[in-house]
Amino acid sequence: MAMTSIANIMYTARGGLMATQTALSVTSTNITNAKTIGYTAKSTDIATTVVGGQATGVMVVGIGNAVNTALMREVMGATSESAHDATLAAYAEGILNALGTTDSGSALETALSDLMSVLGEAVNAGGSAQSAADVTDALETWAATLRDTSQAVQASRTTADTEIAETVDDINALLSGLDDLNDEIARATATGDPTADLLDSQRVMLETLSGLVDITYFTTGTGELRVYSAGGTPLLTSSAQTLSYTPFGRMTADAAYDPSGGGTVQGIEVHGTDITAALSGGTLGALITARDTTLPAIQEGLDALAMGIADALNAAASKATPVPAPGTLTGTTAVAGADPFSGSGILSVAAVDADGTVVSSTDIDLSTIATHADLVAALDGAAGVSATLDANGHVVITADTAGTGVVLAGETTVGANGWGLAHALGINTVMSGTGASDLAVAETVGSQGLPVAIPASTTVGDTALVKGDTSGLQALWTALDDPIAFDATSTMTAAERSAIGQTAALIDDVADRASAAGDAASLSAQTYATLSNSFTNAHGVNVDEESAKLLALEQSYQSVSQIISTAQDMFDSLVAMMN
Amino acid sequence: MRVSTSTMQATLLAQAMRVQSDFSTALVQQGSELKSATLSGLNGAAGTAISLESDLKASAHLVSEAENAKALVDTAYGTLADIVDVIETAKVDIAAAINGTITDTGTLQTSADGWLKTVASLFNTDVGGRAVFGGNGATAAPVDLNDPAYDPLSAPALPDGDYYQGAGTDRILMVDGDTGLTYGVRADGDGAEKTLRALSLLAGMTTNPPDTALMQDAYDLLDDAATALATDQEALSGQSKKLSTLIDSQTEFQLYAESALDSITKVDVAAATATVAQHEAVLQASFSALSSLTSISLTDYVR
Repeated sequence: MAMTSIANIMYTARGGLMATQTALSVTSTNITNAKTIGYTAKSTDIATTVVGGQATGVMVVGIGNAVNTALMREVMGATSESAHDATLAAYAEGILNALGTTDSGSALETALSDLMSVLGEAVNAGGSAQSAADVTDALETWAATLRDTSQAVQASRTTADTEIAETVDDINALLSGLDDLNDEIARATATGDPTADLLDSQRVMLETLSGLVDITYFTTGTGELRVYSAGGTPLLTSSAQTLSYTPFGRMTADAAYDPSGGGTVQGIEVHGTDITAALSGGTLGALITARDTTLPAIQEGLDALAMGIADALNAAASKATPVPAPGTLTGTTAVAGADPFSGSGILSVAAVDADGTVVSSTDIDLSTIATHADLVAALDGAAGVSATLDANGHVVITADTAGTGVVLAGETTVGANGWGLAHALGINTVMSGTGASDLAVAETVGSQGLPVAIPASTTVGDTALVKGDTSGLQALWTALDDPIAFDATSTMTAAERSAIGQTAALIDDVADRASAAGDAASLSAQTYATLSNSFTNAHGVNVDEESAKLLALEQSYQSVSQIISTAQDMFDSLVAMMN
Repeated sequence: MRVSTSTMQATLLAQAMRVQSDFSTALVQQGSELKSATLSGLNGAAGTAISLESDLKASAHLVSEAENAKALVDTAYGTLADIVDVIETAKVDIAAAINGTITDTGTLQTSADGWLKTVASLFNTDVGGRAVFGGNGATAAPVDLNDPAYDPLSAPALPDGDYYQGAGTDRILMVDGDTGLTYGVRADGDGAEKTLRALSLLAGMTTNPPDTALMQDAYDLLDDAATALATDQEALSGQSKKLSTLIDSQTEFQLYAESALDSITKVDVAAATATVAQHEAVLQASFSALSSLTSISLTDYVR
């Protein structure tokens, strides 16, 4: 057996003291960081020093922690999904509240129900001037409610767009932070310094980043982190790839992002390349979905609702005529004289006097008309009236004799959608607009009056407009009460429903989606919490565990000190003996 | 399983907060009676709730309109009865005159003028600003005997409706379905026209002694008018019954719709109170668990 000197004993003991001190320092750091977010408990790795095949003491070879990387990846995934679902749920719930609440009901429903009540009263009031004004007001209120709701959808899209820009900034800051950390980790690895704390910071940043956008990542052999979007676009390579995005500003219904380029809303770019499609998941993915899919689908639903009802109202109104018959009828749909015209049925064009008695009447066979210019010529040729196409492309029919008015009647079918002639030209229609965002009461209602009665006859000498007749208003009421064929939207199938029925169906659809988004959000939040808890429970600091370690280290320190003290005694005895 | 101190505390705290949130939701339900403030919290019945709300409004509106209509119809019925009474009185006097009991033309003429005015004013009855016999939307008096065009004496055998100022269509109430419910009778009907013509003929009689043929014509006209007005009364009685049925069925529907709406949007107060108590107990237990966790430490035992 090899010889051992007292100096050797002292040396070995000294190593023990040093190792214990290091371990004490790690433990105390663990305790003080017990509440630090992302901090994982570190341990001291020690090894026996061997000299000449013999153990001569102990030394610290590293301070570190081994985290479960598979679990960590799951946590990152769950972070993305949870943030994504929570954001979508917040947007769905927000827009639902703009459509209505349990307590105060829906403004769209209220406006429509009021419109029907007011129409019913006007029918009963013989279409008096006051009742017609009330109907016009109710129509305007309903249109304004649709415009307001549509504006709320676009405001929500604007918020999402602004948040996209903010999120892109946040992602850039995190990528640049991770890039800096990569450098520090590389330096520490090169100099043999511990990297565990740097890796904790890296993990916190990565988790924040996965909350913003779904990512994949790996660590290179040299310890550097590489990050890719879930769609495969590199975000962090040897340097951070900065994303750039210019928010659109105030969104309108026709503002859209087009993945194939050319849309009015720009994409998110890296070095001039649009990578929007590769950025899914997380808050950013949810914001893009909200802006480009969820909210536009609701706008589409509002548009289908608005135009379905407006067309039904216009179809009914254009069969009727204001009382007294207006001297001039102006269309609201622009046409060009050269545009081909296809129609069938017999149109009766009559001039009536103040009492509603027909003074002249002409029948026009629409199947003989080939262009809009021909139509205007035929109208112009009718007895008692003149017709022109004005600068706006609107057909204008004027009674020739002062004190007489123009009345159109007859069953006609025009164009592909089979509308009546007056409906197709926008004559005696009540609503104008192309969607929920610009729906309004037609201007001609103000200038010509509200169509109240359907002409009873167009035979000269007969009464066309019977006093107190409200058949036109009745048709408007019935148009709202009867099923209307509504177009399909991206979330709702085409259906025949009453106006109120479709309003309720639209709100129901949004409510169901909001409720499903809420459920999805709470489920993914639960999954995230479970995974995150298993990770932090496995790797976080347990103060009681560290306290126990502290006691053991204290005992170990005392024991090693005792060895030094004993060696000192041995040395003293030896010296005394020599003296 | 190993736990980390901070995570364990955070988890317990999060659980307690969730229980607290449930507790607060239950309290809000108890306070507001609503299942949820948002439509997404109605278990997928948001559309039904909106439809029912609209149905209730439409039904309430219809009932109020139908009640107005019924008041008008009932008034019309009573007024027609009064007019028939005047006709019967007139017929007795005319019969007496024909039989020679009354020989003074002036007396009959004065009486006829009075009856004419009474009948005209009865036909001009209004209810709440609505002319009862004026047709759809009429607010002004429908009978104007002074209308320059009205001249029944020129052709006593022919109907003359020029006294009529009202609407050409009946009053209408928009009910479910394609057609509305028409109601009321108009003063341009057969009964009204014949009554007014007969009484005008007598009031305008100038011959003395009384013209027996003319009196007989007037008597026959009044006879026809009474029959026509009786038919009108029958129609009014039918309308009144229809409106009553409508009001009753709509009121019944409202009861059903209200309870259906309540079952969708409202919570049972007793159940909500029980839920609050339940959540309160769980929250107390949760806080107590949090307190035990934070109060226990190894260092309290090792020294």
